[in-house]
Amino acid sequence: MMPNVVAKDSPGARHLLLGNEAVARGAIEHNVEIAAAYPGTPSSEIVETLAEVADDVGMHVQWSTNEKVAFEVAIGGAICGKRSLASMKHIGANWIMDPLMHAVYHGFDAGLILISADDPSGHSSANEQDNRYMALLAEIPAIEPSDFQEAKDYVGHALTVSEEIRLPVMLRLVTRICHSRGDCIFGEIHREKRQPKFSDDYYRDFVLGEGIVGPKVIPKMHRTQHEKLKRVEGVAARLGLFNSEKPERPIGDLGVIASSAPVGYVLDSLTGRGIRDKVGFLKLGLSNPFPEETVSDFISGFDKILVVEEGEPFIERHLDALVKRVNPALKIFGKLSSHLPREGELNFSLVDDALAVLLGLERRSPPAEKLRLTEAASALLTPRTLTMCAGCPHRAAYYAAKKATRNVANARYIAIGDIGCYTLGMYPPLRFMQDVFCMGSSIGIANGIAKAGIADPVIATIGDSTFYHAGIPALINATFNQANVKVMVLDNEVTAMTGYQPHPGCGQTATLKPTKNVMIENLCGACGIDFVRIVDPYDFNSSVKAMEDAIKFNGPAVVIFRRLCAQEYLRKARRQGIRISKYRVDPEKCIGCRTCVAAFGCPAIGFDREKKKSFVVTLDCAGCGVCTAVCPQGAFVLEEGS
Amino acid sequence: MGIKSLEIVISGVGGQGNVRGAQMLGAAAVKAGFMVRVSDVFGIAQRGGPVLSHVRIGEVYGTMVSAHSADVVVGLEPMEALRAVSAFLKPGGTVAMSTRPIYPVEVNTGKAAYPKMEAILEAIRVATSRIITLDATEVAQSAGIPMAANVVMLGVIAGTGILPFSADYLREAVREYIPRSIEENMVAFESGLKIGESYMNPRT
Repeated sequence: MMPNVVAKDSPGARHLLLGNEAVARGAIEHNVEIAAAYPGTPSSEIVETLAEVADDVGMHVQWSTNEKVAFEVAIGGAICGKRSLASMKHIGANWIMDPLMHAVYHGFDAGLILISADDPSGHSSANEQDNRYMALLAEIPAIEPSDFQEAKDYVGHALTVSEEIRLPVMLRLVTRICHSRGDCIFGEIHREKRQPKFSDDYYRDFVLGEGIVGPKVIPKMHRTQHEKLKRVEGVAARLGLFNSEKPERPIGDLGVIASSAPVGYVLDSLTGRGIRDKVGFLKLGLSNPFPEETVSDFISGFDKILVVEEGEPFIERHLDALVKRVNPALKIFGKLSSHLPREGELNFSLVDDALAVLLGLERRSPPAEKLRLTEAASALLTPRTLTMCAGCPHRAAYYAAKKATRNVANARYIAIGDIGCYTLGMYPPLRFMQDVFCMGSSIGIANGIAKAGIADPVIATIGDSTFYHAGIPALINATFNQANVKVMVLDNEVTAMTGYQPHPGCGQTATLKPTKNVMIENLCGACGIDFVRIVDPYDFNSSVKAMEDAIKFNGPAVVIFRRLCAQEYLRKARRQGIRISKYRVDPEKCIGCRTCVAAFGCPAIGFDREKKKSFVVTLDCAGCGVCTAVCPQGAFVLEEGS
Repeated sequence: MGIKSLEIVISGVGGQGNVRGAQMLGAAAVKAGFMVRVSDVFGIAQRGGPVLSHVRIGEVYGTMVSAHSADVVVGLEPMEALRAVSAFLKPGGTVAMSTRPIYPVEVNTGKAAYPKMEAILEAIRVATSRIITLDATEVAQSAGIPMAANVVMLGVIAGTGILPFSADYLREAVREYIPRSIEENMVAFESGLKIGESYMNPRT
């Protein structure tokens, strides 16, 4: 890793940057003074990178408790005249709709950027929503970089648009920009500590007696917003957010309109086929409000337009509406015409194929030997299924909870999971939860299940960071409405899944400053929960007992399974030179019952089919020792010298 | 730029240094003045899942190597090497593969069998005869840093002469990106380099 290269004052230098690092560099160059986020793949490295250099560049950088708070923090920064940003994954942005829909009637002196990192194909997400529709709903500009240089430069453009138009601006990224690397040339760093000064159009336009809501005020503000939007395309054009290439005689009378990461696939295809200068090409760096003038100019002279975009057919639908007015004979191709798939991430082959079809060129097909190889390989390859790490405290907690339900509820229960590493508890062999939704929803949905009259214990499993993020209101609801839910808080003392970011229970901030630790057990008590038990999931018997007691308790109950994430612990141990005590299987005692591999499923335990004995993969063993409690024969023993 | 593009896929298992290896290769190419695109594809698991890194050098725009068009597949693990070769290698391309397997949970638990090395090689030979095999972990171990299998493999491909730039750029990138044990890593790199060279110029 090259620490802090993003903060280096070396204009003109060329570096390989992660898209998210390029965005961070843009925020540094363009004097963003406040940056807030809740981690979420693929967005996390933006604020993670900024946190590393925050003190050097004079920026306030924070992990906020959730996306809504992060965006509100950014509003607070912008309202005081400081360029501010909030960054989040696409689904995380669902949380901010309320403050966003209100921020749009205000206007700030400083730029306000909402970074939405969309995840087409759901590489690390539960859906592939296209947040340009959020920009459409909120009526704010949406700017889309298509490569790594633009990922940096468009931060500056987004700030300029935001300040000139006086509206928040969405910088819409996609996984392939966030989590890919490319060369990026640094610009100059302009840092300036602006004096904080409260300023808000809303407050300025406020007329005493008209009220703050109601028909005298709201339509007027809405009209102001519409007037603002009319100016966006002009500013965007001046900033160079549109690139139009119109050849004299385009082959196939085809023009291509593209935005975001797929711009690269179009360029690769046209370049590879040697027709780069023979096909019309418009790159849109602004997709909302739809740049009608630019697009109208471009489409004139073509018979056919192919739209290539990541996510929903957003540009395509806008183009369709525009064409009905200006040139109904024009044919539009893209996702709605099925020339490109509507679901899943685009790639080179999909785009190259669509271009070949529309231009009447030959489509690429896999070489014959590769087809033979693919067939031969499929017989040999086995998948690598998702699993929790060796030593993961969540596995131990689930295993204990399962045993508790067997002991006191005839193994009957309904468990709803939540979002984090512990979601993997749904997979075999544990299969603990039956369903999962979104951040913080486990407790709320469990509330409803309990009220629906299910007689079996109703369990919600939620992680520490997720509990702070969104679990608390639902827990209060359980007390308020006396829902008999059993909440397992799987507290591994860090936001593990997104890369070990600190949360309010860690005692330190994004920039590693000590801060007060907000204890989950105190919150539970304050939420009116009468049964709160804290256990170490590595202590198997106490964990089982705690869950049994919670299930038997009449009323909402919380068991906090607290143990540091095994990966985080191993890293710490390595740094501090702590030796890990590892386990091995005593072959005399092992009877080959396979409980450890088939029911518990620690990836550091294997089973030798010939000898019919389990074994420990010593290198992978994290030394948690839970296997000693899992094995009915007591076959797991400490390695000699451990 | 002497080439239009060089397309490399690095495959392995989470925790093997796949992503870092691709990052060092990409950074070296940037230092050498090339346009570069690097993309990592992995699931949500922290450890043990398959990881693919795409490195594109030259006149390149998109971030991923397209199907059957990789000039080189670097496999940090045999089964993952086969997976990547099957999906990405151009017929006649180069494969550099470490032979040390990392067993998936399915194999450890006895639900599936890990393919025999000869079967993996036989399958790869359907697409190419340019195959370099080595136990990169063992090579790294003798350099004093068993974790540096990824650096060994970078050395191997540099040694084959397939990269359009001097190995010095990679040396520089390794020094920049490796947080500790730099000297051991440099030894690992040079050992890999020699293996790559001897594949290209076999002594009789």
